[in-house]
Amino acid sequence: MDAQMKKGLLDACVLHILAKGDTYGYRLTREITGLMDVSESSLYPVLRRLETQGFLETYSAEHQGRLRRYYRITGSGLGRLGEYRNELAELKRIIDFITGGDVNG
Amino acid sequence: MDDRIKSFIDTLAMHLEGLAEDERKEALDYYREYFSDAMEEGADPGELLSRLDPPEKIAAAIMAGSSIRLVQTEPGLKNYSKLVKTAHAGFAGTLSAAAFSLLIFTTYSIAILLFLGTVLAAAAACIILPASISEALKIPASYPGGIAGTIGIGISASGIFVLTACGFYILSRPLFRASAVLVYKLIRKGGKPARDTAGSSQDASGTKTAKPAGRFVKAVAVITAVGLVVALASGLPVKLFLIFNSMKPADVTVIKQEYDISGASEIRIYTAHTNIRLREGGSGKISFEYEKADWLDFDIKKDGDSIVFTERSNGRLPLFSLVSLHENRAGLVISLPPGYDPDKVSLESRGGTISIESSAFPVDAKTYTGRINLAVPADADPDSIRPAILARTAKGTVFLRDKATGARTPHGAEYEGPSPGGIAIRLESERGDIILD
Repeated sequence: MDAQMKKGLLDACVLHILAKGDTYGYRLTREITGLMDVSESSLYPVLRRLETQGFLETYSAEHQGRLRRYYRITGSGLGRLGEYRNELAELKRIIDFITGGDVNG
Repeated sequence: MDDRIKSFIDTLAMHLEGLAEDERKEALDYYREYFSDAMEEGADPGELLSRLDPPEKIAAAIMAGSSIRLVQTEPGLKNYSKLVKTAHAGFAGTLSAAAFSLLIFTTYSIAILLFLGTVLAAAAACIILPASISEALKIPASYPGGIAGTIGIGISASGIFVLTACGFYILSRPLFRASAVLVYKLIRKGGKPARDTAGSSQDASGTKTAKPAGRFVKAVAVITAVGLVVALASGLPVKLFLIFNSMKPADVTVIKQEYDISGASEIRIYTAHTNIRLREGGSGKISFEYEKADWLDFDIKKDGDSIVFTERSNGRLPLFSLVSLHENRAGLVISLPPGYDPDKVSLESRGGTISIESSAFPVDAKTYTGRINLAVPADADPDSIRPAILARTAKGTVFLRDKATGARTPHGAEYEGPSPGGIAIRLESERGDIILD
């Protein structure tokens, strides 16, 4: 998949997962690698960037005697996710157009 | 903890050396936590590690992301160099590496030019201010307006240079920022998926301008404006503008003086700045008509058989040594009656031009930057111009009726009129042209 496209999709996936509820690094990674082919270790820089862009924030909570860092989507993160959804809706129409018309069928 | 995981974390920690301490800790915490959570959910360490990129590569992505963010928030040479260092590791393809080299070469070149501009402008500012103050100190205290105006010009001129220096510096910020964005795009395009995530880009929010720098620029702008107002109020810039563009000064006083020809066998004229015109005619007396500018003093007296005219600065105009090299439009006209037969007429002007409208008198004319015009009688054949002319100029050209003439000598151009024995006219100019027509 095109690197540029993949990057946008990756951001959208992260925001979408967080919109459903706060979660932590490992869980987030598992969800995403189950969905698209990205390296398992590549998520940290993405999270860090989304955080500096203000789309998500972190907090720590105790889990089995140690601290675990959770990620939470912000208001502007939700806004960005909305933009992604609009863009992807258009992309979906194009994909349907390309894949729908089976020449042999 | 599993040894393989421990060694993974150690290698990562080693390669994150140079990252800001809190960022480094945050990254390491993330991966430690990641392993803890994975173990807790029953992952096999060997299998887990095989799904991860090597720690060197992860570190490179984190470092590049961080340094790109650094350039975005604080664009400067130091942060940009950091980015170049970390990004350098991220190129696999020859093409993207070549594009990267070209990009950083261009960025550094422009940055160096901007830096040189900054330094030169700052240096100019540092020179102009003390120079203008020292000029102002030379002005007699009886001209407070001139002193204030000179310092005002110095302050506003050096202020403008300081602002220019700041401008060059400020320009380098978007340059580094834009270049960082391009580096980011290159890393993503040339890389494998892991590099997808190298860092932030266009929409990074950190475009704070440094507050103290802004205040400094504002203060300099205010000081420059004050200097400019003082300078303009003094009228000095207008005066200098008129002089440097060889326009007539606004405030000249015309002074007339006449002498009998008897007992005046020699005339010696020196002007610092005023043009000299020698003509034939008048009332049978030697007459002087002098347009005196207010920053010049003059003295005219009869000294034995000689009439001596000298001109000098009264110290009122700053930068006089420079100003006097520009020709003035004010003039000194000397009219000699026809048939007057002096032993010698010497005319000297530092910056002014000398026009000799009659070749009936033995003249020695000398200028430093000014032109010398000699009117040769209209009926004279150029090959046999009657007066014995010797024209010499070090840097200028001798023109005879619109054509360059004269021999080139190691000392400049030299022309000798063909008929010695007549009236001798010697013309000498260091930098000006000599025109015979």
